[in-house]
Amino acid sequence: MKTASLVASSVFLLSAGLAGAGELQHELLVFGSAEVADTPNVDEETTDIEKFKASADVLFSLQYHSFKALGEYLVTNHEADLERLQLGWEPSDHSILWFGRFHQPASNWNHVHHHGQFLQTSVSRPASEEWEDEGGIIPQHFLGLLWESSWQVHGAYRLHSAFGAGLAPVMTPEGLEPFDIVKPNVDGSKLGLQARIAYQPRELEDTSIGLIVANNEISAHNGPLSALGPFDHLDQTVIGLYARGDWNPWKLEFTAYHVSTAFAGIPAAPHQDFLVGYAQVERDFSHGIDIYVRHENTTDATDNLYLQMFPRFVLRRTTLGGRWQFARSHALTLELSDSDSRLQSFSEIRLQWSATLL
Amino acid sequence: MKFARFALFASLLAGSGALHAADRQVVLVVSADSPVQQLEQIEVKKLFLSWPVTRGNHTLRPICNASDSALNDVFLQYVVAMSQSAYDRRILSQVLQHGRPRPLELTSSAATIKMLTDDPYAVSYMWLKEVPANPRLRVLRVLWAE
Repeated sequence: MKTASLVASSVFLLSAGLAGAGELQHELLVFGSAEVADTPNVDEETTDIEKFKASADVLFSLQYHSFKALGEYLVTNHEADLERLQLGWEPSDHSILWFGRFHQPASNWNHVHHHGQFLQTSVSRPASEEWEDEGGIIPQHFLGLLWESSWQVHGAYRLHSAFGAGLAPVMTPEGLEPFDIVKPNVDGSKLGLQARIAYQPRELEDTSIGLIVANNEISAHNGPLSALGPFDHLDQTVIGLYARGDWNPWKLEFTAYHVSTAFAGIPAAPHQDFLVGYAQVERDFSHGIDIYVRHENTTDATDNLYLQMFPRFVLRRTTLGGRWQFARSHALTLELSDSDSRLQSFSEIRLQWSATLL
Repeated sequence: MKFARFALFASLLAGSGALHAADRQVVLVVSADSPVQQLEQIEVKKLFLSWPVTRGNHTLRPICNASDSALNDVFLQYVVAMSQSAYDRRILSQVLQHGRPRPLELTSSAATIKMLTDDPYAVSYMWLKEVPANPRLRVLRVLWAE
């Protein structure tokens, strides 16, 4: 909490210090949420689901001419993390070079929603898009450089691209662990590279399709064990395809990732891969009500050495939910899921309030 | 959306007897000192969706005039062409994804006029009848007319 206060105070002071500069633009935005969840007849410890979770996601940005700063600080009832801290140079209206800790661009869901719970219709996120500390299997936070750009082509459609290069998370006995800005832990971190290209048929609408590629070297830290023993690092390659459609009142989101992994340091370890994906369909009704359904699935998971290191990872899940947005900036969401992890099958019930607080 | 249209027409019909035809126009306005000479319709939409729109290396600042609900309905329907919740979601996403500030939202025309006259790169909209007779503001274009 002290760190959160310090960061917020710093932003206010910086804003005040530059207040005389007419070109300074700044923003402070806070998303709040509180959630209760239950997994009937299943011990909470055998899932990655918390019974109660409250969070505040604080976003702040400053822009002065071509220079920009962006931060995202997440405080929950059990953690506080500086999720993103990026310093940017914007040479033109449609391109920017960032340095800092960023969310990797080869994730469809996280590139759109980040930690802003109010802006994602569902309570849960797909298991393949989970953050590292929530049991995620694909590295999401990197420290390094991120280049984002877009071009309008023939005055009609737009192409977006993003390239990231930075220090990848490490693999620990508890799962993936990213670089921490507040308590730096670069020891042993290796390089991760990501790229995304997306086609947007109409510039100001959400409908788009995209291709993504990532290659991450994930170091072993504190002796994680695979089924074949200790290893030096993992080579992981992700190739993905996604599509988003917005045809009022319907919305569609589809993503598939092909993930290849190889354990360096274990001569007998085979090169393995699996496919993981999800599709979510939403329907808007009147009075702020949305109904959504999502299905997630994973193939070739049974003997996969990498996935065996994430026993609670949800391999298959079908989710049905309803969200009611009221008073302009508040929402209540009820969600039911039928899930299969490597350990067990179980049901999930979640109820969440989310809001834009500032 | 149907409700928004109904509310818009109901409010306009209720006041129609007292208003002249020329008053039932929503206009895009800047300070009289503003270097902004014109804005295309697509630029207006981009500006209020928090996309960067520049003039002479200066980024324009959108100001949402939330002084009355009928004006807001015209803005949502004819400028950004989306519901209030879709619009809110869009501009919040711009902060989340790109760190772009939200348009400033002011709840009185007096405050909007003051902000416009203080900042030559600020752009807003209002009923034509609210544009003061003195030359502090300049109308760039008509956004909607009955």
